Amino acid sequence: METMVEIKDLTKTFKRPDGTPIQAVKGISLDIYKGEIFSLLGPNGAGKTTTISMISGLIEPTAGDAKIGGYSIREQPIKAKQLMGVIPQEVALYPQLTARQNLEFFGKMYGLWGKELNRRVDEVLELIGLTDRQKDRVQTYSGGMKRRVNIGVGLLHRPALVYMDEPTVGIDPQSRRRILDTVLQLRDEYGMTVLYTTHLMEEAQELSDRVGIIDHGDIIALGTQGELIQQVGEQDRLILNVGRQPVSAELLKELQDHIEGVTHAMYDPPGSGENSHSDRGLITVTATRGRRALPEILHRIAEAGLEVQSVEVREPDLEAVFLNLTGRALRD
Amino acid sequence: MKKLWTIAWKELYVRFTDRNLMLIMIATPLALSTIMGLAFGGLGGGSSPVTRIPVLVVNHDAGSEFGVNYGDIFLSILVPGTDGAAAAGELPACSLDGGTKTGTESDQFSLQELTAAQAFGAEQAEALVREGSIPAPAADPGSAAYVDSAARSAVERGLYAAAIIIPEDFSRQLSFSPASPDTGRTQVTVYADPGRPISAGIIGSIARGITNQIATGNIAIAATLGELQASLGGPAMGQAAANIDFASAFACAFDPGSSTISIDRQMVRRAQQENRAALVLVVVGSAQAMFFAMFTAQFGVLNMHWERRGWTLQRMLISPTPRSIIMGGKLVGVFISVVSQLVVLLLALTLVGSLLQGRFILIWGDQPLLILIAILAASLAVSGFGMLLAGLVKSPEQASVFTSALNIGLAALGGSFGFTLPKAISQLSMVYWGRTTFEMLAVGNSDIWVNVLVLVLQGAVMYAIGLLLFNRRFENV
Amino acid sequence: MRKILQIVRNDLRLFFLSRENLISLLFVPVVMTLVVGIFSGNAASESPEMLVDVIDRDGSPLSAQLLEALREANSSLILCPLDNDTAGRCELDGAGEIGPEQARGRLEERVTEAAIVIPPGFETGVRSFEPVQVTLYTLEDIGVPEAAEQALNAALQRVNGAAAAARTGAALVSQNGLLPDEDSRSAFAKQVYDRASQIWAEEPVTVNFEYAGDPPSGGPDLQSGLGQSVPGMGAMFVMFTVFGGMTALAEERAQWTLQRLATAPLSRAQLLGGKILARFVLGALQFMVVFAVGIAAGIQLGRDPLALVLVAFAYTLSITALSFALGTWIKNEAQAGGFSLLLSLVLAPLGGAWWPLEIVPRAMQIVGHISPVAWAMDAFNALIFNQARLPDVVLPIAVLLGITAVAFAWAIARFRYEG
Repeated sequence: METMVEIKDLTKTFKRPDGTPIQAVKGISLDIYKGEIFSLLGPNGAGKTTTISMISGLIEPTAGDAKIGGYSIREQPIKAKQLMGVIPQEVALYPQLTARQNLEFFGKMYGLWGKELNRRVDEVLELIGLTDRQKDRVQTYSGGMKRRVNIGVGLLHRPALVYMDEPTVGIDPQSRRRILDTVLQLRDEYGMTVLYTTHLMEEAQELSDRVGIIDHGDIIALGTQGELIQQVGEQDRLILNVGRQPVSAELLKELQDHIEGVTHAMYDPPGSGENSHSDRGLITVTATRGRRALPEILHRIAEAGLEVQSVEVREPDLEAVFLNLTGRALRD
Repeated sequence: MKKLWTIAWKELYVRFTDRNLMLIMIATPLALSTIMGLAFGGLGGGSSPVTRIPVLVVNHDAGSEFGVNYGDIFLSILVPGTDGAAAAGELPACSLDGGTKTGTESDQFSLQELTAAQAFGAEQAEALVREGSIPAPAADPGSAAYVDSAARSAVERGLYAAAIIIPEDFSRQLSFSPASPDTGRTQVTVYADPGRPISAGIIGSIARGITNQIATGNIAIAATLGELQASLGGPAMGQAAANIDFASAFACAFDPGSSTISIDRQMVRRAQQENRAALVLVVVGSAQAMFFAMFTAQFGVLNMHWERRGWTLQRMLISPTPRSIIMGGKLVGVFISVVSQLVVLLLALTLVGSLLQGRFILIWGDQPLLILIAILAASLAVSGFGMLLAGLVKSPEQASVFTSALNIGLAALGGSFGFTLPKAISQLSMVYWGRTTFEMLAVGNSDIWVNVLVLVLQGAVMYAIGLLLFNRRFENV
Repeated sequence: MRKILQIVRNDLRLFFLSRENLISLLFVPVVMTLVVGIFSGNAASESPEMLVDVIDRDGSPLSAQLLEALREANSSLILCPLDNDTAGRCELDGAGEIGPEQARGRLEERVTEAAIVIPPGFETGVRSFEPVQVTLYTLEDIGVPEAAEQALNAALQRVNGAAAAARTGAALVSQNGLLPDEDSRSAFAKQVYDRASQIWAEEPVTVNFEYAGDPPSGGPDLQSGLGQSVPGMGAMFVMFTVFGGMTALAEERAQWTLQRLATAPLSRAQLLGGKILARFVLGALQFMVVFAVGIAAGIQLGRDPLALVLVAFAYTLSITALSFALGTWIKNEAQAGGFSLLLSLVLAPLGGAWWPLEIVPRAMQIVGHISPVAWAMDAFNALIFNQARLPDVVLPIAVLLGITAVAFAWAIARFRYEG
């Protein structure tokens, strides 16, 4: 397979205000192949945006390099940048200008001029469904529309490689669906390579050909989804809803240490983290052959005086991989 | 009421913990006032900031038929120790009993402090041309026209603030001659550098003063001899004249010190003479304080537009708090911000003034209660203006440019920029009213009530209109 | 190059899309330049109205003569209440007479610039050669007390002239025994006095005060006023406009368009070059606006327009470079706003944009030259007032370009796309 992006020992060290160094990205190396959707999956603050910023030439790496289509981002940044389209997490547009003016301006920055530029702008406006509103100022758009223009600008020059940095953050389900479909369309119809960062397991799972899991600035797992899940083995996840009843640390320890097959037990109280349900406390137990351990688990919980309101058994997925590798849930 | 104070406190807290705002509220006016205080007040006093004005004196005077050369005398007054003056024979000292010598020494001193005069002739002109400082004049080198033109060029080029040109017939025209008892007319010319109008103006006055003094002596001679001739008749006069030492007889008429009239220059207040730098600080400091208080008030009130943008205003409005309390709290917060800013600035400027003066002085006067009233009145006017603007503008972006522009305009009118406009125009600006109130207090004048009334009325009216407009605009937030 | 021009075009478009920017680019600078130019020009020369209260306790012909001489000595003096007219230019608020208290109050409120008190017995004193003191009350102000004092001095000399003549004449005749008795001697003194007064009235000697250089069509007052305010206000508003670039840059960083540009195939030089050029163009535009005001008002801009343009160019460039150098420290828009106000309002007066540096103490003139404004004003003054040509202003231009080079080097080395 032809390599599109070749990242080698990429490192970024920031200085804290007090002068102490902090390593945001710790010498990662990975390859992204031509025509694939590669997801960089990791919790917030894992180093996803720093990595993307480095390989898009926004910030200088402390060490290491990345080659885009063979061009080093450090040595030949202009050639490397010409190959990529970047869709930042923020809506990076001039609010005072219309969608069309924004597209035209940035198009020129990518070396598109004249008729060619006009044609591309029309195409992109069609793609993002904003042809009728192209002459309105961006500041008058809704959040979803701004996001679409934001994506459109990144696709204008038909880059061989597209970076998308958490494009679905803070967006309604409908727009999100549309964006995910667009990503697939980019690969399938235009043959583009996509680097997609997200902290949502579901998105990575749905889109990616390959996934890199990043945590604390390090790639901790890399491969196709199948390959990654194999690392976890036959581990199931049992999710038990105990409502608003308090769960003690002793109970979790007991579940983890005294039941055969259980490798990990954790608790999300109602309304914590991504657990948006205010009346559901969730105990998550990871176990080899989980179904067989279930009766024993339910028994121990009942003994602790808790009533289980519902049980869900999940087959191994990326979430489990992360949990397995770090002992923490992805959403933390 | 508790809620109102909570809102007011939040406003204050936000304002005084914002370093960028402190930059505008305190640092900028303080820096500006200090610069202006140093520029106009001088370090530790000193009579005039304008000293040692470079000036050329071109003396073409050919002397009178009696061999007197008043041009040389003119020159010797401005350029001490000039050779020509000694050769021409300085006037004998005045020895009149009634003559009071007041002011002679100080006049001389101030003249030499004020000017750095230099005799200018063909030699100097050619030197300037040689070194390329001025273009070569068209006239023949050595001719009067050449020197004149060179002097003029030197002034045009800014090498000197002015050139005084004494004409060839200066002594001849001024001297009395029995043959033609009437004096002729002559003219001294001052070429001035338009780039230094103030220095040039002073040189103009000095030239007039010296010319008048020389004229005084000559007119005294002319009038006396003319009258003698008329009353004694020609021959008797001639006989008498032979025995008279005219030079010493009229010496006193040439001596400015012999004038019995003197000027007693006094500052309005004693304190002023002693604390010049401090007084300048009061004048510029109060104007700057008013100028930047306007910014503070506007940031405060206009902040509501930003809060609406960021939805914190709506969040407050949907809480069970009456609208009036919210507005009241914000306005109280803004008002106290302005008051605090003025207090801090006044205190800081007292320190700066004391440092400049080398000892602790209360530059704002010694009537704390009246100073407080002035601060309150000024704060009311300024925050009322902020309210009015908040009611007038549509968006915060529009506001920031618009208000800076307006503030600069009002500040310029009110005298924050170092020049004074006609009072009628100045009075359009509240900066004028605030500034003059503080100035009056600083010089010990406690009759500030007209100013206070104007400030309070302005503030109240603007508050009322502003609130009305603002409420209308924010009815459907 | 094409991309740089597009960045410039885009930045200019963004600037002019906010109509408020037109107020700060056009309206305020034009008004300020005119106001400052017209009024400071007047104050600096001798023609503005300068109110002076006169308390004539003598009321004699001689005191009247003194006042007349005073008017002649400085035509801008308005003697109150004598010169009051129906328009009420003495601002007397109805009062016909001015007492000492009132005069003092008017001084303190800066209605008047000075007050002159002629003592009772002035004429008798002068005529009998007794010491007489005329009191001049002033407030401290820039240049004004000196003007009033010099005028009073000149007037007193005139008045004293006849008395001095009479006095020396009388001394002469008595010392030389030319006239036998006391009566004829005093009659002689009186005749000498009258004759001297008559000669004085013929103005045997005058002082002609004229400004060097070509007479400007707007008149010397406007020339000296606008000659200072056009470059001065220009220099200040160029700072406002160019330092606004810091705010714009902070804004672009906040809305991420700067970062987006950084990921486009542009070199750092292209991106920064475009941004800098855009601000420079706006600054140059600002100067043009203000200079257009000066030209429209008819002031002379000197003999070397090219040098004038070069100075404006070098100055604008130095301010642009400074703003980008400072921009590396700026974290957000609020900070940018605060800093640009602070810097513009400190550097402008320090460098002589508000008043000519000739009137400040030498130490402040030297300190003032830390501001680029001072170097620009030196050059502008030389060009506008002193017929300088390009070779004469090489030093200030070199200093400005030096500032530019250092600041740009710093800015380019330190520039970060992210805040």
